[in-house]
Amino acid sequence: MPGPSSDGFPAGAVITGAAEAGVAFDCGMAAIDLAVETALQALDDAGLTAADVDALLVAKGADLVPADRPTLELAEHLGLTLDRTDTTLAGGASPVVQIMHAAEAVAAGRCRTALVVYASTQASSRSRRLGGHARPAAHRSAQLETAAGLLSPIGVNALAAARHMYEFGTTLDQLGMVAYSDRSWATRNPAALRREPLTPEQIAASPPIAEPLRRADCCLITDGAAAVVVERAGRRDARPVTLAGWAEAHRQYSLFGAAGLTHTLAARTGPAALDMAGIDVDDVGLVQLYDAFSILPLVLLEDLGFCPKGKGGQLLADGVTLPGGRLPMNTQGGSLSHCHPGYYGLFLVVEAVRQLRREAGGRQVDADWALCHAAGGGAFGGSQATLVLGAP
Amino acid sequence: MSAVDLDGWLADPRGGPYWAALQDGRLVTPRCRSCGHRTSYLRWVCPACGARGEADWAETSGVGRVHSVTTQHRAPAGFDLEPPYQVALVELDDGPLVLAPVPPGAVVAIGDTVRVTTRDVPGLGRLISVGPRS
Repeated sequence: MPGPSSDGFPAGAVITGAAEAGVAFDCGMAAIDLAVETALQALDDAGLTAADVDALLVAKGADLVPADRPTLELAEHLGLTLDRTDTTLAGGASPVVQIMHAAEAVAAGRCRTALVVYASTQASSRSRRLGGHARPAAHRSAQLETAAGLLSPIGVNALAAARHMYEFGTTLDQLGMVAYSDRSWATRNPAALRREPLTPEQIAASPPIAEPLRRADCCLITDGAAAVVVERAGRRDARPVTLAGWAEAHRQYSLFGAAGLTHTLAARTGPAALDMAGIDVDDVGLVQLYDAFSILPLVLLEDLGFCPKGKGGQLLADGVTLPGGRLPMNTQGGSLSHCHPGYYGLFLVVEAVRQLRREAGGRQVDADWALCHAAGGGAFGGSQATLVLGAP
Repeated sequence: MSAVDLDGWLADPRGGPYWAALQDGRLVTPRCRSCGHRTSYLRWVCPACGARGEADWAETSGVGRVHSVTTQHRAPAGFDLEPPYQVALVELDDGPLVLAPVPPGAVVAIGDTVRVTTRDVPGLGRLISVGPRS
């Protein structure tokens, strides 16, 4: 967003507040209360109050709460009068897409301060279990998955992993490096829900759920909430993380609409977001990649351009994503060790903000640029969203 | 098998012919009237040529190759097969992708030539199935 606006401020958008709350297997709260708490924490972090908020973006989903008109319920609780709301549905990528929409609205002068919130109590309310939720049967494409007995969403990820192993020689040990890397970081994050050491041998012995994916390859199912404040650059006393580049891409609902099991639209969004930021992959010092299943970040590393196609497993096996490596990944512990309350994308961004502000404590990395990428919407990422953030 | 609403699916005018054919032991998929491209289910716009015209339900040879396969150690609630069982994504020789479980006793691998057929699900009807070609 080049050039100053008419009142002298740069027209760019920045993140000035970030928070997460209720990260637990049972947070003991109703989802709406959790949403309010994390929203207020993010505003505190930004040095703002609810009165400053004129746009509210909350992802809505069937097994998420608040599920019915979430922006209006939350607005009423917070006492907001809004110029803009957004309940984008792009699966786990929803909140990341919403940050982009907020940035565009702020940069266009349609609002000044946008609050992006996500909250779910899906672990304590037992609305989700590993591999076992039914796709809405009214969708004709989903009927074909149901009639075949395919678990959702793990089944399609398992098919993708099996195909990647067949096409490129990716190994189970390479897949296991995602869980190993996540846990290696999680041991340094007091907020991560799984912090006990995890060895490659333990990962190899983890029971299969949908082969080749084992339990260790699958995300946790937890409660949790996160919130981010997006506003116009230029406010005094803010600690702005720059929204430098972003791109989103959407295509399929089911695997029958996918162009293949081993390639994603991240190959489009990654270069576009880096180009908008004016940097290239070598400038990225931190990657925050959606990892609901281990195959996802492996493929994303390839499609985003961090290695040639087919070499994601080798890149992980080289240890570059581990503490001390040249490409730290998911430094909060990812969704395999930190938390995964459904639409996980916002947690990727909260951690990137903390890292870029040098507030990450014992897991702090030296990064001026972070690339966050969220995949969502079923079918091995029908929605893809890349967000490039710059240090204050 | 609560998740499979066969009666409801049969009653859907745009989806029903697929399920009805399975009840007769036949596998049919939509074929674009303009370009002949086959899809896995009936789409409103042909993904190959963009035609908005209707598609015909055309029988397939049922022969194809396994594009990918997973062995699931859990089953969705209500599904009749006892885990572990395989689910295979098959690229049929005449085009479309189909997804089908491998009934007990057979095993398939990526690249295998397979035959897609139907299987009887007691108390429900016939659903898709896949196994070795011979």
